[in-house]
Amino acid sequence: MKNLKQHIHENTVREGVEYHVSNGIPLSECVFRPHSEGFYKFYIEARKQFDEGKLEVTDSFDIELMETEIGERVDYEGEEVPLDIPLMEEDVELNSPKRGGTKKYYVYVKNDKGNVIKVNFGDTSGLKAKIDDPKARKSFVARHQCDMKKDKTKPGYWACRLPYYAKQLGLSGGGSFFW
Amino acid sequence: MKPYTDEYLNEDEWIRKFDHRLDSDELVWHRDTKDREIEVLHGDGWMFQRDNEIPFIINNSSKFKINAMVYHRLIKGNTSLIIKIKET
Repeated sequence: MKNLKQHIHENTVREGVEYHVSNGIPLSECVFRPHSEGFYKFYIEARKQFDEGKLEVTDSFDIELMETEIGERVDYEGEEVPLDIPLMEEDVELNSPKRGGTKKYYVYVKNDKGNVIKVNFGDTSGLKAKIDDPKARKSFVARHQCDMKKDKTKPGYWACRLPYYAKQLGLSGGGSFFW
Repeated sequence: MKPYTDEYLNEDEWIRKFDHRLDSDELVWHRDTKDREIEVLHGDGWMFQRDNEIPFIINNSSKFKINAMVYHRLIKGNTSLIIKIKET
């Protein structure tokens, strides 16, 4: 995990949530830079307001997001890791740039027992190629029964929701839809 | 390909133009190695955001600074954006 060197005032975090509300921006498109201190604190603040009934959330994925533990960071094998936010494997092959092909992702989640586990999942179908193609998305959703995938400890849950996290992963395309 | 074109005035100063047809996804969070002073020459509805701060609107003749190695980004507006950049 990267060190969070720049600090953010709690008022700025609240302003960030207000910014989303006043501009009608989904919470999944956090105004702060992905994986910055503001990003994590934004989700903690949004969930706090949501739980207290102070934040009205209508977008179905945003509601789902508020039921996760996104924003929280926990210890996993001696390392601080974020919960419920997909991360992309660093490209380990040197001097061999690849475009497209299989991408590998992982996410840390808590299971039913409260233990933190690492869930690996892949985008074997080429996110960039298909994410902007409504037909391909529809086909993927139907084939993988995305609306039935509710268990976040399973790779299928995350593979189906990849477009929601496209911006956080530094991928173009994506948005508020299943594949 | 970069989402802008540059026209140099001298070694440390140049005019940068962002076309209004660019894709918002091209305006990514990034850092620069040197401090920069920015002056907006033309643009409507564009916003600027530093890391861990709220975006703010930049208008014609807006001036602001970007410290070296601080993440920042532009948010696309309604027109093309033309800015003058001076590295210090």
